Amino acid sequence: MGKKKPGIRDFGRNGKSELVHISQKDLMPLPDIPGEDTESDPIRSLTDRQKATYEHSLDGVSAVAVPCPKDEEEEKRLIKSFLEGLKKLLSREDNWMFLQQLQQTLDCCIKCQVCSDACAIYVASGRQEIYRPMFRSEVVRRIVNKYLKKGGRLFAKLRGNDIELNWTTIARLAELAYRCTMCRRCAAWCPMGSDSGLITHELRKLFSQEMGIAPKELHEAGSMRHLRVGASTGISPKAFGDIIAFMEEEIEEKTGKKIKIPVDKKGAEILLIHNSGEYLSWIENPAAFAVIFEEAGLNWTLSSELYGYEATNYGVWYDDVQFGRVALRQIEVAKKLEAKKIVIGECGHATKGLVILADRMLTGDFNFPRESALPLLENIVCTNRIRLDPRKNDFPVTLHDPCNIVRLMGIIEPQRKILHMICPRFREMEPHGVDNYCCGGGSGFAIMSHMNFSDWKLTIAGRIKVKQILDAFKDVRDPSVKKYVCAPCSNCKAQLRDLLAFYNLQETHGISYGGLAELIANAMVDLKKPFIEW
Amino acid sequence: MAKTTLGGVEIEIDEDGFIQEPEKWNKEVAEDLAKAEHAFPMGDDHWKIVNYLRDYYVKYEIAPPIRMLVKQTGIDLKTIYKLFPNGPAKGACKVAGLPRPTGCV
Amino acid sequence: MGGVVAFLFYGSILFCLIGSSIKITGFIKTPLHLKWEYYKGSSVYESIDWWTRAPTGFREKVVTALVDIIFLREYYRRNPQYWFFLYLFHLGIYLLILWHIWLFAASVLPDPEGTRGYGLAWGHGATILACIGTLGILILRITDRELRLYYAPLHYIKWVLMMITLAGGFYAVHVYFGGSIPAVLKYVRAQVTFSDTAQKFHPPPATAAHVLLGSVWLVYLPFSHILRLFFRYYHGLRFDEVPNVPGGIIEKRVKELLGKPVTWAGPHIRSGKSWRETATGLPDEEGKGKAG
Repeated sequence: MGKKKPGIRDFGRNGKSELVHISQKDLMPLPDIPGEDTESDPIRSLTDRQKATYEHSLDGVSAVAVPCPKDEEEEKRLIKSFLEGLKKLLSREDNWMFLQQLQQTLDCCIKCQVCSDACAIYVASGRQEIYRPMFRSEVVRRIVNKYLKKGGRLFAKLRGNDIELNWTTIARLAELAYRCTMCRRCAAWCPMGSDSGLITHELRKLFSQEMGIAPKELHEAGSMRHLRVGASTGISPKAFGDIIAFMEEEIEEKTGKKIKIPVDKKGAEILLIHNSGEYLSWIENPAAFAVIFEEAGLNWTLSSELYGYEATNYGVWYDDVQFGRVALRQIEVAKKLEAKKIVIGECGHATKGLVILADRMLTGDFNFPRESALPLLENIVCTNRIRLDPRKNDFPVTLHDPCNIVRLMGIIEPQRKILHMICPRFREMEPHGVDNYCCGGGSGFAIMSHMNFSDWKLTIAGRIKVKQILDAFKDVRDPSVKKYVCAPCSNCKAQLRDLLAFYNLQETHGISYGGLAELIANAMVDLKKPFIEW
Repeated sequence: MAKTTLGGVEIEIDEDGFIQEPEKWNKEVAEDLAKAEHAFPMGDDHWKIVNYLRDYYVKYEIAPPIRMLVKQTGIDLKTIYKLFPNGPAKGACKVAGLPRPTGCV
Repeated sequence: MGGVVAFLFYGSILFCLIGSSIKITGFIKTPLHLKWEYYKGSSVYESIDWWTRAPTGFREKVVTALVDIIFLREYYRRNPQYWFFLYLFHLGIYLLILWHIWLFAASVLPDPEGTRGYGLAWGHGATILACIGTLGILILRITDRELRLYYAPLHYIKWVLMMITLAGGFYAVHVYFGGSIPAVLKYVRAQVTFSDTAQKFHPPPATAAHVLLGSVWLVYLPFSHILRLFFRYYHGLRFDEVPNVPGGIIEKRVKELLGKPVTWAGPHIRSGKSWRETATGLPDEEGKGKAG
């Protein structure tokens, strides 16, 4: 290709035109997918009205819907606000929670590009310069060095701080903060301990916490709605009651077991909290949990209190304040119920958020015991607390490792031990475990699909995952053989659902997806009907 | 946000075509929305789904669980995707005049 | 000239020590961060009631850090070609640092003759390793597009300066002191015992040049990323399984941090209150989104 790749120097230039335009032939090939060799652009162009309304000069995609400033005055105000926010990111008061790691990352990059090869998005996009993990960090690093440090403008070029801070730079950065799933594979790869995923996180925080700029799905319709209604899905306690009743019916019909799902039981051993999206889109997952927990004789409960039936916490992805607000309210519910501990269902960001990220925000009796459901499921399955027959799962199964649970929490083996016990045709995808690739829906992407962003996340962010899944089932291509991608995470499931549909993999390859609990329930010996419906 | 004319009335829609003024929804609006969703002309099954979604929404201010929709209408998911190519959440809900589903769904 | 050299020699060492101490104190005093680690293998979170289990041992952490630092293991895994030269360079530098320390130590010992053989081999060997490493890195940084792309011009100057420093040291020992370790030791002894001011104020040009360059590096050290690098282990960027337990030291620090003021100006924050109060409260009416 003769076209010149855009460098960091171009980042603040030519704000009227797109820095890159991605065409189909740029992308990493997917030879097993028919129709992938078309000439048409993988990403729909924005409409003229959208182009006139929203910033899109990075790559022609608008994930954040940043409004174009009306005049120069507004641009100036925004630039000032951005610099204010950047200062706050480096402040011991306003960003004590991430200051150490941020400074480490800003100081320690030696531009060895190990992270570039680690990045699913960079590789799948056909190595677009702007998607390098360190590209984003480098823009921020240069701005900090040049505009915030004393004498930063002296010999800026010689010292590698060659950047122009203007509205174009900021608008492109806002979008660029949403071209990374924060899977932090790059961070795990970095020999220097730099963390470009963290830069994404901090940038999103700067835009949200200082400038009020965040994707609608995450903020207005996400964490704000969560704080207002009790769940980001909008499920109210009243609706929750109706859904639980329906779930009980479902369970009876499928399993022949009449179960009264414990709700708001005081003093239970376990308060189980699911991502509330499970109830709407994948109700078989919470249903499977109920069946398994009841069969194992656990002392558990769900909560129908405001905030008590929603594990998500979108603040994890973009805003520390919103994160803290939600986490405190979730703990409050558990305290009021006098549960012994909170167990979080199959949801990656929620587990990492509440178990790990909240750890150093909670003090006194708010420091409530919290854990992932996976070790508990492992204990139930591997110590034979319920009767299971692996022959019932006699179909090819592969496992997707949710980044938040696996690389970022170190929960690697429980899900594997379970699958080895109950799925005779289980096979790993490559690479897996802590080396896994993100599904492409991480950091909120699975629920973001405004304008043309879903084209981007399906053709680029999820591209490598599609290849991995196809490779894992290479030996059984026949679409009449049902295959199952197990993804113990709501966000990953939403992305997988959209990927399988987009690439038509259910029809052409017989590939379905679902959670882990469903496979366990499906293997239970005394069910009336198979638990998994294909 | 943008304004558009659906079923002869001017209605505000979001970037993905979900109407923002649910009180203005009526059959004609639904049919115009269905055209954009490749769900036109609307048959009995379309209406069955749309009406069920509407009723549930009026009662609980959300769309029902997908399983519930399938069970209560007796129309399986595959057929729903045939009727509304963008699926129950992004397709059928839009035609039914519900706001865009939020959260991890 | 001589005064300047002596001043640089002692001054840069002093500067390096004080500068590094200030930096390190700064690192240690940075507020406690939230847990944001990543794992290379199974963690304590694989256990039910993980808070009752012992976190990864101190010993394991120290071993990991040492292997990383001594062998640059991560580079070996990710980019063996670059690692090869990087490692030669580091090995050479590590050996040279030890050699200089040894020079100072041995210079005050009574029998410099006994060190003749290995002292020279050690110094020259280390210099050659570091030179090959430096040259290799420089060449790769120029020829490999990936390695060249974002590398600042200043860094190239740094590597050239490193070559000159190494060559200068080699020249001083090999040519000026005639490859005689006892002669070097005698010179060093004059420096550390604060004696023989005549030589100090009229230093041989070869050593003067080397001391000068060495001083530049010593002054640079507190400003470089090198100090920060070691702190990633202290900062718990990889495994950080020490939980915040009620009544523990982490809780005490967190309580203090939650009292810090929040000045973020986003419409849903604008609190001006402490972190504790901000998180307990809900977004202002004004900041509420209209979605619903």
